[in-house]
Amino acid sequence: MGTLIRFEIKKIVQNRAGVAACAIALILVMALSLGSVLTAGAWDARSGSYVEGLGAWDAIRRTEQSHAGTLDDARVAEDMATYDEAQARWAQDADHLGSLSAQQMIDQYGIEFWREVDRVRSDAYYLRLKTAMLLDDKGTHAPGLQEGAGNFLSNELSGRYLGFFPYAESERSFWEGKASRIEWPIEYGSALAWDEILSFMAFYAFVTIAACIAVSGVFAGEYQGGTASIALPTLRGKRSLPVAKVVASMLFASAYWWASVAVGSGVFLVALGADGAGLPYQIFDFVNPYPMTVGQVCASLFLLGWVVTLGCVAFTLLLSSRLRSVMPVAVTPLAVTFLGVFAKLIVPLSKVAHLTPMNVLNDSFVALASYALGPVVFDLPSAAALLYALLALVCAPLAVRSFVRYQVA
Amino acid sequence: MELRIDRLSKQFGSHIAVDRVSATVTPGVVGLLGANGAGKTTLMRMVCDVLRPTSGQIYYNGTEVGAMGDGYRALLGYLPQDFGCYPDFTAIDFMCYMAALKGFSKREGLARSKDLLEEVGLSSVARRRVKTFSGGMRQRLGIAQAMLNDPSILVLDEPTAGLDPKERVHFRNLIASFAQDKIVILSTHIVSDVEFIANRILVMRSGLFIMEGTPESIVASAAGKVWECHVDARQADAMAARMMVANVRYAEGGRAVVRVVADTAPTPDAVPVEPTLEDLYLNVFQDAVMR
Ligand SMILES: Nc1ncnc2c1ncn2[C@@H]1O[C@H](COP(=O)(O)OP(=O)(O)O)[C@@H](O)[C@H]1O
Ligand SMILES: [Mg+2]
Repeated sequence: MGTLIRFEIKKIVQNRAGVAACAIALILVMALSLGSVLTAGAWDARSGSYVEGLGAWDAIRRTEQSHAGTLDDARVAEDMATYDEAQARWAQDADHLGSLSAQQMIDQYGIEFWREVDRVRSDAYYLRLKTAMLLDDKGTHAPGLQEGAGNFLSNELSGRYLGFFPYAESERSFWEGKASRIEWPIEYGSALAWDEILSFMAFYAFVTIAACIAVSGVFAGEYQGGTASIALPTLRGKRSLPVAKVVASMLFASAYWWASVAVGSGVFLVALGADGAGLPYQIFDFVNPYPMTVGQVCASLFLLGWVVTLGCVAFTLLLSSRLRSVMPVAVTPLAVTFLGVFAKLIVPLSKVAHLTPMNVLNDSFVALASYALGPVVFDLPSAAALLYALLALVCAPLAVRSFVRYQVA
Repeated sequence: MELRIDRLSKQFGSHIAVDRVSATVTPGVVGLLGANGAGKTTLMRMVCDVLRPTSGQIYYNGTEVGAMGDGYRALLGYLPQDFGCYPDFTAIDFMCYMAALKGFSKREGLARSKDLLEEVGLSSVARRRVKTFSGGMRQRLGIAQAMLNDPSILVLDEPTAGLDPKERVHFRNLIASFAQDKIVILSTHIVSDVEFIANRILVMRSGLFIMEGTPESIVASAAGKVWECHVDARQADAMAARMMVANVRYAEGGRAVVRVVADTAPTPDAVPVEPTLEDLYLNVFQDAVMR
């Protein structure tokens, strides 16, 4: 069996189109990560200058770290006051200020003004704070972040998801139960690399697609290349061989997935440092209901992406075992992924579309999409994990069966 | 040891490719002789369990082969008519892969692979990729893989296709020495392939076995139907258009010696000659050839 698996992996690796697809996806992930690291730009609040390239990250980190600490009610009230003050000062001369560049503002109003008004108004921390803390458009503040986030969530849940899908009672208590496990007050700090990793998560769908393209010929290639007729009528041709093919495909896809994850996230972690993994996930979005740390969410997403990849690979293998030519097999996962991205824009389809590979990676642990099966409620990541695990478990044996039953004619 | 084919049929849509054929095959070389489209490949695919018959069964020593499963496949060696062999594999890789499929351990498989590549004269190119091989080299590689597991039932579909005359002779000797106490089924539309090594010949046409027996007895059935006539060269061309001409030998002085297969003397001065298997083949496939 080991020998057969090795040979099957060899065949996958010798398939030029598949390997090219894998290389392209890997290069894409790496280029996006590197590009993001190298082309960053940020205003340095201390010096009042715009910094580009790697140096920008120091400025970003300093800004984030200036907010570090426990966000208890007193801290939050103080920061909201800073924000409201900045808003008020801006409002006095909004039209004129809006037309100025940063440099002009510094020249005309002084660096203090720029720092206390313009910088505060565009600081992600204050924007997140505002989202959670403002209870209405009259400027009423929640007493604390916990109440603010709770209020935001119950507002969402009393409406419809995307204005279309009403929440069932079971779904409401599901989300509220999740949110109730968050430990308030939360700790704030910088987690730059993890923030970047999360923003690029959707692009790992290309890794999934490339893995599918690489295995598209595993069965169909034997039919198309006329090798099925010598491989099938052998001692192991109808028993170990198809199993070895499935195992080899899964091993290849897994190795490729984790290598891509290592390369993509490695770029960020090496360049920006791994700090912040233990901070609560809420630092990126105070109203997010997931009681997890930043590191846990990243790890879960990568694991989820792996399961999605295995499911897609198994589905591809099933197609490969059923169709006689490789091309349509290779194109299908790509088509499904992109159709999913567009279908998400059509609201009535979007809950289903969320479950396609790229959307799963992009929206998991963000979207308040839930799927109720009777009394059991799944959020997007758990529904996707279940779906793709099931796909893998169902499709793989079916692919084996189709290969065994293949008719050379 | 015997392989019994029992009323085996295969239908593609409305076309019947193999039409209820029955035969019992015992050790030795069986030649399956027939024109293109006779149904040889279809029959062999069914024998090798890669194509499900529309009806009928195949029994090995009394057991239906479908029920034997892996046990039956372990006995098989198959050279398909059109086969692929992983173009990016080297010859030795390909053989080791086939050895793994046939259940050999890595070491055993490598040793067997080397022996067989030697046997078919490919050991000097063992490390070359299969895609660089000529048609004849690929064919020899195909023969080598079929024999890897020392099969009790060796099925060879047009094994000499693409081989040059020297390779053909070598192949015949290889098969003749291999066939001791094994069943070898060999299909061809080339008479000389089976003339000297087959113990038994099955002549197939339109999905049916229309004749069977030893090469001698089959040849004998053409006795009295093969004639030689001495005619003008121009006359020879006219004869070729009208009747089954096996051979024309042009002689000096605008004369020709024409070998004709016909039930009655084609010309008054025709003399009956000793038939060969090729004459018989022409006789049997007259309509097919004339078309
Ligand atoms: N897959 C198929 N679909 C339809 N017809 C087929 C198929 N395979 C073979 N045939 C037909 O069956 C007949 C026998 O073909 P084959 O077994 O390849 O003959 P041979 O090997 O003697 O040349 C031919 O008429 C061929 O066209
Ligand atoms: Mg044929």
